[in-house]
Amino acid sequence: MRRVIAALLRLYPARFRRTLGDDMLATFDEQWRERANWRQATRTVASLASGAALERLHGCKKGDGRMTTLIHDLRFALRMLRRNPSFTAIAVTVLALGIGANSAIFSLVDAVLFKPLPFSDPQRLVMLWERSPGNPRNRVSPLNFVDWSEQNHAFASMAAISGGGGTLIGPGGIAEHIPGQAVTARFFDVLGVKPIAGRTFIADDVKPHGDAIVLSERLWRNRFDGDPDIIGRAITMDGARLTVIGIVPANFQILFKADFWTPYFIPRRPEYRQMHFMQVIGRLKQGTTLSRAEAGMQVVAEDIARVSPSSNKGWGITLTPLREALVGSELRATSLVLAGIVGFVLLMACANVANLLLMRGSARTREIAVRASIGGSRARIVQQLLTESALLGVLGGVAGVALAALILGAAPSLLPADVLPVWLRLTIDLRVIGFAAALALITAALFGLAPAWQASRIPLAGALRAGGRTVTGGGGAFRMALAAGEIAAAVLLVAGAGLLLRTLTSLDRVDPGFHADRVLTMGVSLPNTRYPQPENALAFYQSLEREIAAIPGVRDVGLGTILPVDGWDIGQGFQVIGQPKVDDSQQPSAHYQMVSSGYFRTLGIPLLRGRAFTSDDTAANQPVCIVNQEFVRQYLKGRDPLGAMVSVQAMAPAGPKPVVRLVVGVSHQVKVEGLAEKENDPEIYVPIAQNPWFWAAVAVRTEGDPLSMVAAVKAAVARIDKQEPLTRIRTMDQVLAESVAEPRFRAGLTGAFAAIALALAAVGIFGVLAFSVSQRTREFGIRMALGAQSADVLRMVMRDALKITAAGVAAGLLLAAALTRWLAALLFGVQPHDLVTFVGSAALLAMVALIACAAPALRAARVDPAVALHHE
Amino acid sequence: MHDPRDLLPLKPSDFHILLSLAAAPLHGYGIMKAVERESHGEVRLELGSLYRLLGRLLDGGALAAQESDDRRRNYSLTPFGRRVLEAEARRLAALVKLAPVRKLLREAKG
Repeated sequence: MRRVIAALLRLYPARFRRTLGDDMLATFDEQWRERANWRQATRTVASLASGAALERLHGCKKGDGRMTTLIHDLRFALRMLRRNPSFTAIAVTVLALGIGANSAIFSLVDAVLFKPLPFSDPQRLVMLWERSPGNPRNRVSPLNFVDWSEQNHAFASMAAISGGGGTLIGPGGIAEHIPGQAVTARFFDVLGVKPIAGRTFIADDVKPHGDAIVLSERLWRNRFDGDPDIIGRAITMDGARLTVIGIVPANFQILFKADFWTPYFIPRRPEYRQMHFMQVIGRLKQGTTLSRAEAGMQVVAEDIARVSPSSNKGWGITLTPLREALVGSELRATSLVLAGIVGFVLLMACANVANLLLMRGSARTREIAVRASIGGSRARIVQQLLTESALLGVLGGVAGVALAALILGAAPSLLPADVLPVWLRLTIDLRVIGFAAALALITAALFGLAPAWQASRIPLAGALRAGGRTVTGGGGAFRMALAAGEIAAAVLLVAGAGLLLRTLTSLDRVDPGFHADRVLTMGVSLPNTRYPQPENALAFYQSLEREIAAIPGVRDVGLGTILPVDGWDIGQGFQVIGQPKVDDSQQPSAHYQMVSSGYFRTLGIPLLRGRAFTSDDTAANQPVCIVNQEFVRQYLKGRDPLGAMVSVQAMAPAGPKPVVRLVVGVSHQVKVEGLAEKENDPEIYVPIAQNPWFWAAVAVRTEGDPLSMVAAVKAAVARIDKQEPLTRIRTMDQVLAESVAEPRFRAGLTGAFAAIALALAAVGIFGVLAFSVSQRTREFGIRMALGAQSADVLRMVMRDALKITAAGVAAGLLLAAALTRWLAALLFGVQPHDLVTFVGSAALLAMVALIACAAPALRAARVDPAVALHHE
Repeated sequence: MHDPRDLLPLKPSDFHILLSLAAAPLHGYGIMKAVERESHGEVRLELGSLYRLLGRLLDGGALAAQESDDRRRNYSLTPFGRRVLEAEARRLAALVKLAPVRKLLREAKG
């Protein structure tokens, strides 16, 4: 609410704001503390809007003659609007909906596409990737990064980032996982981040067993109570002592959520050439272009490949502007689609208000005729009407900005997590207010021109002679065209929402490849300080399985590297034995999972051939693996997969090392990166006892409600290691739901806008028909006096309704056919020209429109000729 | 300084604001509450209208503003403002004296 008030204060003249603005905010705060309710909020907003307008007018008073005319017009317009409160309320509400929705979406589009990224001098920032034979955007190995930053001439500075969470022991001894990033020395310099206290990293901080840590403002305030003396003090994380050297502002985030940063030291050991897991950002030198940098980096890549051919032959470097790297194509498409949708909603709002004004214009024919006949020039009259429209536009704009502030204030709790990039903030800033102001004026021009034009053509004599009674207002055809246009726009939006909804239902029908209701899942991540070797991790995992299996109500427990549909975690190169040997750098890679014997059973992943892992598949015995259907299809075609030997890179602290494994089973295909995954990924599963690693996903099948077991599972973990927090505790159903959170959100939001469009279209056609019926009462009366039946009159009105509806629906279908292809990137399992959706949208609109027409049509049919003729 | 009577008659809300400050300086929210209380809820000044009037009265020299220790400001009557208030009060009192003469307040008395 305070943001709304602050935004409204910007409407006041600068001089007024300077002297009284701060105090107004202070007074508001005080009042809001005592009376925080909707009624008070509306009153305050209304009083501020009118106060600002009056202050501005006051400032103009000393102006010239034209100004006085304007003020005069404004006064008159205000009086007219006040005299018709229901008209004003409807028009302002409709405009506020349109402008509010557009401003809120503009805030998103602006942040995603236009506004400079929130880093210093952002157009010089570039994201760099390795280009492997199979993947143009592969992550970067630490030593390749070192060579890049030392050998290039195009970049002023470069930094590499790797994931790195840690555990803090909070009050009450409860372990909490804190997300963090491990970064190279120049990280904060590349992005131009200034600390709010202390300093950021320097080269000396980056060393083996370095102990420097930078905290986010959020972590500092929440976990260290904003302790002003924290700089230079030691904190304990993962059992190690780290020295806080600086705090960076709360709104600084990049790539993924992080609340602390530690320096990442890169040892010059060969394995650091082969593990590709870092993300690299560079700042171009002043005046260097992206293409020049690309050419330069190509040379660097070739030099590295000459020196280390086994790891780097055929690998290049991909450069993309940082914005392109940070804003995925899906978010870009979603923003643009939403902008298009709210644009249509605004056009419909304009059409509605234009219609309202036209009808009122007809009713005001006499007033205008009188003014013209006593000497008011047409220009003056048109100017007066335009002033009224502009005032409506301004009121709608102010209410719209307030609405947008409310929408954006609520957005963070409505949006599913991870839909928006971490660095993106949705706010009402000057750009949004400017946009809303421009919209208000443009819409005012759009809906104001028609009535002004209509008024300027009123034939004087006729209007006066009609004696102040109704004249059949001109522009009937135009009003009908507007209503038809609204129906067309609604057909388009309903069709769009329908396509996104059908996407959702097709996603629901996708076979994820596993069957897991009543499965609780969680993540564990073991810090190097307490678990230095993989064998330590294995011991933890084995105790964990034992402890959890012993809990009453637990049916099964399994461990893996990651859960199905939760993303691609580790990819490892492999080579089928017996096929021509290739360099490590040319090996294909498969999704690599280190799983316990219970993984397949617990998650309900069927084994199609062979056997599951058993407790005998240990490091001491024959190395084995299970591959999935896609792996067999691509790499073991035409032979019995069981008994095949595959050399797979294993995870090892000293870097990947090839292990020859016997294929003992073939598993059913599961979705790896989410239900909308279009291509099947090849997977290799290895027994966790033969290759334990430092993080794992745990799945627990339960007899009852899985969430009721959380406390028991936590207690089991605490019995093994009190300092080990569980992360991401979810049921498998939730994991599935999260994988379709974005399409669900898109369908919901679009559906809401489609519903608004439907309502606007219904109101539009209802208004036009109701008005035309009231204008034609006399005509109907005469017809019925001359022998027409109610049914004839009913038919006459319904013919109009059908004409409007048919034209609108037809135009809407054409519009949809032309525009829905822009949705293609967001659709799954349904074509942009889906017949069912199109026919359904057309039918829905036809039905709603005809229902909206029923009332005016029936009223026409019930006209009593005696009364109607008397009335005139 | 100009004649306080130039400003008369005062708008009711202006009068209420000046009246609320007669005893002691108040900050913005204090004025809001005092006016509502003293007018028995008849006059409610919302944020926008209150500050528009305050701005007018400050410009006219009837009020003065001081920064107080916290971030709020205190508003007080200037000597000129006090004279305006007195003049208006006298004007109103004179008017009200006419009311019994015209037998308007009889019921209220009884």
